[in-house]
Amino acid sequence: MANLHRGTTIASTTTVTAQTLHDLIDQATLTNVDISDAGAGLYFVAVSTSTPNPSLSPFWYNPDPVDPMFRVFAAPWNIWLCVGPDRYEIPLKNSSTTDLPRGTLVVVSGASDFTIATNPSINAIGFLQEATTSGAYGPVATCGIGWALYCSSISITSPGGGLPDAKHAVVARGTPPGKVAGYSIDGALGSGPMFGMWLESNRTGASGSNSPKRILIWGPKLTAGF
Amino acid sequence: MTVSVVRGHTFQTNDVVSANDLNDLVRRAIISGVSAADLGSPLGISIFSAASGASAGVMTYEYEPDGVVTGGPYTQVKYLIHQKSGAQVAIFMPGGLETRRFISRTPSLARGTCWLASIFGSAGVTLACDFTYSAGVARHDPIGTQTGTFSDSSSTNATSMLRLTMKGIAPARVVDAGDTIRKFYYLLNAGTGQLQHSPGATNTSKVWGLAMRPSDSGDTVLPYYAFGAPLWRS
Repeated sequence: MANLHRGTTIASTTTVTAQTLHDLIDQATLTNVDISDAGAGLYFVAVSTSTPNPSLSPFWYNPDPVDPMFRVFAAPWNIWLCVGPDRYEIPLKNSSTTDLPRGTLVVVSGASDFTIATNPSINAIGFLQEATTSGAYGPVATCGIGWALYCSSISITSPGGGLPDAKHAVVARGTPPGKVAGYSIDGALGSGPMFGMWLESNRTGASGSNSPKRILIWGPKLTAGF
Repeated sequence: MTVSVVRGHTFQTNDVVSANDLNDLVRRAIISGVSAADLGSPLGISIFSAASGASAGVMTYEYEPDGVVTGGPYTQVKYLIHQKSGAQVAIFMPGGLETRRFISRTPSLARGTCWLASIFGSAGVTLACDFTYSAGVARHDPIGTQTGTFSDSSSTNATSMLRLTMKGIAPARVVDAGDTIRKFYYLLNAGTGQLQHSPGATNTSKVWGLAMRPSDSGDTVLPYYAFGAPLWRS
């Protein structure tokens, strides 16, 4: 709530003149204008690592160094969507029968829905960026720096052994639906569908299997040939 | 919209007016209904105070000249975050993605250079990129081209972040020495991090972007459209 500071202080012994009263207002200052002071249609950008109340602040910049993002609240779908600086997201409905975690690789299922599938290829549309329950809408990143759900592959033995080391391609070979692994294509063409490139391996807060890690989502489902 | 000021004290007809009452008249007043019309003209989109401990910043909407050498500068419309530290990054721009999450592992490179993904030390929150190209190797791992100027005295820089355009219109260092036929796409020169039309000591299996001035010649900075991913050539 904004604070109005009086322009002069009237003491009990002050002789109040017209000038005194004028100064009381004329020299007053206003500070601490915040969201609650805004009129209808005027919004400030909320800056915090915690999610703001979208009815008060539909624009949100999260300065968390792990994933700094500018988001807008998409009211029709009741979710936050990233609009940059380094990722775009679209709202799609989780039509699978299970709740899905952040980083899930999703495939199209109608114009506004997604689901998960084994051996995704050209039907993959992006990676889910927030945990989304079955039947709800969630933000799906189609390109840029985002989260992918790493799962150690049961069939990739080389090269790279399925690890998510930086530079390794992001693939879904032998992994459960929605999960991905790593595949080294350093100095080689590579083969089969590749959805992006790993940007990190294990780190504090994101280590081991079944953990979302950061990747560069290529967008197109790239391969040396279909 | 009119800004409302609600007085902090209400006087009754027969009240004896005290100093406290007069002070409270203003001190306890409440202001509401501030609209865009009430904001100062220098205010662009929004001015915000960052979270505790972080830099405060200003978000603006502006044309940013990219200043390519050949053919004069061109501009792009971008929403930029200006931080008090002087750093800025395009928070969003039409059809493009720009990042400032990567620390550089190389002290200084020219504007428009293509950078590769890397892990610096033990993997952490901050992402890293480097410039360890290998001539003749089919690189698949560039992040983007350097948007602004950059130099740092440290070869293991852990503080300065590069501005990298990962997708969309961006400046690119182009070398076409030896080219006889220019094309509409760019290959990566795996020896220098530049982009070029012709094979040579370069990556011949993947295309990185659309040449927006394919007829221009010379080693210079030219605008190109970064695909944001390597596209395999058939």
